[in-house]
Amino acid sequence: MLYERSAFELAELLRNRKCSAVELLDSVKKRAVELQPSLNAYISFNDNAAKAAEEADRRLAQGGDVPVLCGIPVAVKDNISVKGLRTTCASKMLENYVPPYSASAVELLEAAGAVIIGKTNMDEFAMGSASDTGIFGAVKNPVNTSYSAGGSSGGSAAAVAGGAATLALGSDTGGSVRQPASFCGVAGFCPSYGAVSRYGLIAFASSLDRIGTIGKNIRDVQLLHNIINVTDPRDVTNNHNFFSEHSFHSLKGVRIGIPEELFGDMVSDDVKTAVIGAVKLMESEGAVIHDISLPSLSSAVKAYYVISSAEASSNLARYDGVRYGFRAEGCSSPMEMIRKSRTEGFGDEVKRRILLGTFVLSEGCSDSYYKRAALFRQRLCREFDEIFRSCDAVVSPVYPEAGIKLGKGKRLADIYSADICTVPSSLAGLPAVSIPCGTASDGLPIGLQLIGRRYGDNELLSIAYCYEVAGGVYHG
Amino acid sequence: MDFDVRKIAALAALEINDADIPRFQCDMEEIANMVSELPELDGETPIPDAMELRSDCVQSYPADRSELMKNAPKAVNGCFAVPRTVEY
Repeated sequence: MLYERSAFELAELLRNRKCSAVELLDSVKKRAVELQPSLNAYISFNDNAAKAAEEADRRLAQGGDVPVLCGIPVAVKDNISVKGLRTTCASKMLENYVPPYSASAVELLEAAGAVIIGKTNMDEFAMGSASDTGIFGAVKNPVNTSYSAGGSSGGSAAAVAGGAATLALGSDTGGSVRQPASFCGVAGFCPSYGAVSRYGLIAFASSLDRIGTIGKNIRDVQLLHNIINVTDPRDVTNNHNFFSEHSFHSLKGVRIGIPEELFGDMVSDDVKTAVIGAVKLMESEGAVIHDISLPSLSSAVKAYYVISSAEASSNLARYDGVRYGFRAEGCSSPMEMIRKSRTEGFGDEVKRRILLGTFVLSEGCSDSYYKRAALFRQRLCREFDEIFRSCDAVVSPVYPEAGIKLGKGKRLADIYSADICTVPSSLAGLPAVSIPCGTASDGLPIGLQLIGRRYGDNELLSIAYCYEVAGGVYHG
Repeated sequence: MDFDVRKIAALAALEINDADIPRFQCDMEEIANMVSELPELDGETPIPDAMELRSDCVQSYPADRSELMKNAPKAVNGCFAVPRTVEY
């Protein structure tokens, strides 16, 4: 079936006229509609997708220099603006918001002839780990629907894993592309901070937010990333001055660091076994394994929640019910309207993050929380820089468990602490990728995380690709 | 850990109703305790932010006013409308 194939395979079929973009969209859309009741991966479908597929077929028929992505169905997380298409952030606050402009990443996809199939479900404002904090309900894992697809880009990962999209865009603030990719058994790439313009990405934590890519394999995520990895003056953090083109062609001599702090007791046996098995495979292919230590890793989650919540409380202050977004009824003064609109428009998890952010920035607290976290972040960056003098990549699990059972109550501190493997590279602005590396005893996929040096996105993806073809779990 | 939910909610322009206060109090104390143990970093000084900011000037925008106003919860004569701010 067409929907099962990777983007690269499909690009070849499209070029050789073995299938049309319209047929491909039809196959993927049918699959998406069929899976929607069980996975809940989408919030809305794009009514203009068929027209885009017809246009892609016209471009393909003309031949010439047609982008590889032309005619490929791509899903877009519902916090990335698509002009004229409802973009909700899975929040009552933006339930009826229709952006008057598209994100830079979306403009680039459309210019390349990609077919945007729809907007994917997520945690409200991307705050969560299980895609269960939004108003449209939880996203379920295609492998086992009693488990979460992960979060916050759960809809994007579930769509790709289930064949309901060929590729997908997600956003990654503290692991939100990598963790759901790991849970669903697909590849997820979070680029270096500054690689992809966030213009049109609805902000959560601006010093951490990145647009990432999800696909069936590393070649697919790189294909999508290469389209959106373009300089854009509309995002001042977008920076292409320092990126390296270096890449590896085999694992021979690649220096891999194993941080002891991310293989501790909090990691389940299943995950540890799968990740260590992947490391052994790399070693058998000639990689040189180094045991390393990054002492700051153990406090990274604390710094992450201080910084991300502080920035969220500031970014989400814009939702006041005046210019766009939800407005509460029956208010007699502007202040009452703002308070009630925010109170009724935001869900509990978003409120908790805003409260924490307001607290850590409040008088008497900012020195001991926010400033200390910012200094801690500097130290963590230095530790990573030091490690990358003697390593080409750092390997770790993506998440301590293979999955999150839906509806199973947990302490908030435990839920937040479980982000320990993904937030360090988020704080340091480093590229990181999740690749399937095995399965747990209950059949859930397990992901391996590879972290690369700053601006070494190409190099990191080349190492991931070499691992994948050397015998890692590979699709297409 | 002292976390005054009512006070912080007021600063954040949120209302937490009486019935929800105990739940939020418990949640926020748990989270604030978790993040409160950041290590002391003696000798670490903040590195100045090297980011080059764009100039703060008005730029042309492709969308027209009526398109932007479509998302307004309430508009009067092409302007955003809010409850009365001045008593007269």
